[in-house]
Amino acid sequence: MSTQSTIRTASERRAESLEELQRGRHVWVASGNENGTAHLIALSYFWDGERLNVATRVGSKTARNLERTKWARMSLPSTENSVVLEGPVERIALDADAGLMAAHKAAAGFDVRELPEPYVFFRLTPVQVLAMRSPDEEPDRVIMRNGRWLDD
Amino acid sequence: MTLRTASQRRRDALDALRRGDDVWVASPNGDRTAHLIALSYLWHGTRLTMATPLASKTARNLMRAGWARVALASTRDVVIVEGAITTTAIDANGTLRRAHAEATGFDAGAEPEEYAFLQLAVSRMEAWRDVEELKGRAIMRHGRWVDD
Repeated sequence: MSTQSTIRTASERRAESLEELQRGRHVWVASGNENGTAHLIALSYFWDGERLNVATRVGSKTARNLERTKWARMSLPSTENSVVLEGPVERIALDADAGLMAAHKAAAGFDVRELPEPYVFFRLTPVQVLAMRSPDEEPDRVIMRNGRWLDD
Repeated sequence: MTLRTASQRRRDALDALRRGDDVWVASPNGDRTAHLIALSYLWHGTRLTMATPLASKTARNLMRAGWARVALASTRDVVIVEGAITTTAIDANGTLRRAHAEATGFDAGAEPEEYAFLQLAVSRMEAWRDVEELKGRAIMRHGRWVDD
């Protein structure tokens, strides 16, 4: 069997990446610490079709980093089937968007308002998306660049 | 779900590190944002060794920072490891090169690009499976197991 058959087109990767984003509950979030190292944590999220909304505790390291750098790189669902998204992030206070809270509860399975500590959302608008299932897929892993899907 | 003790988390985390193939590696870019990529690894018990092209963003970032935070693949059974990074040339240590190739299935010395080993000496480890386990997630601090 040709290994070529295992390499997905950009359109297939886009469709499957969007399915993973809709299906998943947690995402790895990398952010830059003030001391020049990097932080990494898994957070629950809600994908609204175009943007990824993660919930974290007010004042957490990730919250402080994202407030300062306004940029994040995130990945899901696994290292064998990876979708990596990168782009600017904006902070969304809990009371600013009731629809988002309800959508997050439905997607993540818990209500951020019921947690003992105050939470906040950060919304990533991807400008770069990578999708890769095997080393064979690495050369064409970029499926969105500068905010545009390559198969558009 | 029952909360695991620090000792149980330690056993589970070490099992997961022995069984796992890849880690998510976060590294700091020069502009204070972070890079994130999956790399295969070799686990030695107290160190985690990854190979990546010397010219890659991850290699450059980790050599500059001298520190890395990496996570095993699962977001359901989280194991995060953090520690100082040392860089070793692929040819500097034949035993390491063979052990890494055996663990990961690829020989970093046979790649067309020049690779380097990035070795993480574990000084912090976190393990949790759900929100209830977030408290007590640090099972190693400053190189010491909290249950020792």
